[in-house]
Amino acid sequence: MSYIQNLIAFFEDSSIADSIRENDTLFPTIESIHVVAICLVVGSILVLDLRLLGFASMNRPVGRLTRAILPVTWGAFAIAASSGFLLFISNATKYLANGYFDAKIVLICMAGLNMIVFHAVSTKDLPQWEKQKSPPLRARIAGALSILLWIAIVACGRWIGFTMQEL
Amino acid sequence: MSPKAVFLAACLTLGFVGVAAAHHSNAAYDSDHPQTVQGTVKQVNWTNPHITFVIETDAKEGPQAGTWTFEVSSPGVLTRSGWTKRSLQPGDHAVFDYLPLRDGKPGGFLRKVILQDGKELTYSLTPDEQ
Amino acid sequence: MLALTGFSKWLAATSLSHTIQTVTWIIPTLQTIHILCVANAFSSAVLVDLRIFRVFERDEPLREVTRRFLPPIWPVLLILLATGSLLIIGEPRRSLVNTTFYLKMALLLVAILLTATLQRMVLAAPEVFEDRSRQLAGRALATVSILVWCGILFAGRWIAYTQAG
Repeated sequence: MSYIQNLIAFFEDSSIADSIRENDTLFPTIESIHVVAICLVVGSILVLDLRLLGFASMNRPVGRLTRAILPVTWGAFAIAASSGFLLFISNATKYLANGYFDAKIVLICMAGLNMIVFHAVSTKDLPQWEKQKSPPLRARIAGALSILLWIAIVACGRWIGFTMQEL
Repeated sequence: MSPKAVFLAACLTLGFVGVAAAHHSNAAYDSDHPQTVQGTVKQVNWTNPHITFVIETDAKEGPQAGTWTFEVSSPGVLTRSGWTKRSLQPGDHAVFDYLPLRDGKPGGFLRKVILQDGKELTYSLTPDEQ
Repeated sequence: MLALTGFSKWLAATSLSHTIQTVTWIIPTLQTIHILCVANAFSSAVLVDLRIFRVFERDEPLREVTRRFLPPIWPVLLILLATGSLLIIGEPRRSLVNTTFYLKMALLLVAILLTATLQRMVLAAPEVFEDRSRQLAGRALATVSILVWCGILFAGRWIAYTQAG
C-alpha cells in the first residue's frame, strides 16, 4: 500500500498537478476536453449497442459496424483517459476517497470486461448471425448491459462533483 | 457476471440516498438569508473546481461555534475579481458574509470577506446585491 | 441586463425552482440526462462529419449514413431543451446572467442550422459532395460542424467557471 501512496503522492505533488489545481483556465479546459471525449465514447458505443439490440443500423452487418465504430471509440477513450488522469492527479487523494469516483473506475472496467467477454464469445459464429435484424439473446444482453453500465458511469462522473469532501 | 453487474449498475444509478455532500450545487444554499460570522482562517484550498476556506469561528459556543468550511467559486472567477492565492492566509481574522447551507450544517457559500484592515474581498455579484 | 437579473430572481422564487433546488438529487439527475443526450446528438453529428471526410464508413453512401444518424438528433434536442429548461429554472443565476451560457446558445443555433442544412442537402441530392469540385465545400462544412459542436460542449462546461455564485 505504501508504494501506491508514494506513487499517488508523486503525481499529486508534481508541478503539473499544481498548475492544474490552481490555474484559472487549465482545469476547466482539460475538463471540457474530457467531456467532449466521453460524449464520443458513450455516443459511439450506443450506436453499437443499439445494433446489438436490433434497434438501429439494422442494414449494417454487426462486424462491419463494429470495425467502423471501435476506432472512434478507442480514440476518444484514449483522450478521455488522459484528460481524466490529469484531472485526477490535481486532487488524487480526495478523488480516491470519493465513492462515486471509485465506482466510476470499477464500472468502466466492467464495461470493458463486457466488451471482451462478448467479443470472445461471439467471434466464431458472428458470420452466422451478424446480418440478422434481431441478433441472438447474448448479443442483446451484452448491448443492454453496456448501455446500463455507461449510463451509470456518466451518472457517477456527475455525482463526483457533488460529493467531494472538503476537509 | 451479467445479473450481478446489472444489479450493481442499477444500485449505483439509483443510489442517491445518503449522499454525504460536502460540495454542493449552488442550489443547496439559502440565497434568501445571507449571514455573517467572524473567525480565523485555518486552511486555504485554492483548488479547481471550487476553492474552500476552513475557518475557526470566534464564537465559543452556540450554533456558530466550531470549524466551518466556506465554498466559493473557481480560481478563475476570484482572480478576475482581484483576489490572489494569498488574499486570505491561514491566521487572518476576518468577517465572512455567506449563504448558509439549507440543511443547517456548519458551512456556506462565501459572498464577501471583510479583512481586519477594512479591505473587502468579493467577486462579481450583480450590482443590486453588493 | 437588469431585466435578466430581475427575471432570474423571480424564477428563483417560484415553487418549481424551490423544489429543484431543495430536492438534492434533481439537479445531478437532470444534468446526467442532459449529458447522455449531448453524447448522442454530438456523436451523431460528428460521425456524419467523419463520413464526409471518408474516415468513417466510407463503404456506405453518405446519404445512408446521414439518414441513419442525423434525423434522431431532433427529438434528442427536445429532451435537451426540457432538461436544460428545468436546470435553468432550478438555478437561474447560473445561466441567465452568465455570458458563457449565451455563447453556448448562439453556437447551438449555428449547429442546428448547419446540421439541418446538411441533412436536407444530402437527403435531397445524395451525390452533392461526391464530385470533386464540391468535396472542398463538404469538408469545410464538416470541419465547421465539428468545431461548432465541440464549442457547444466547451461552453456548456465553462458555464460553471464563469458564474458568480
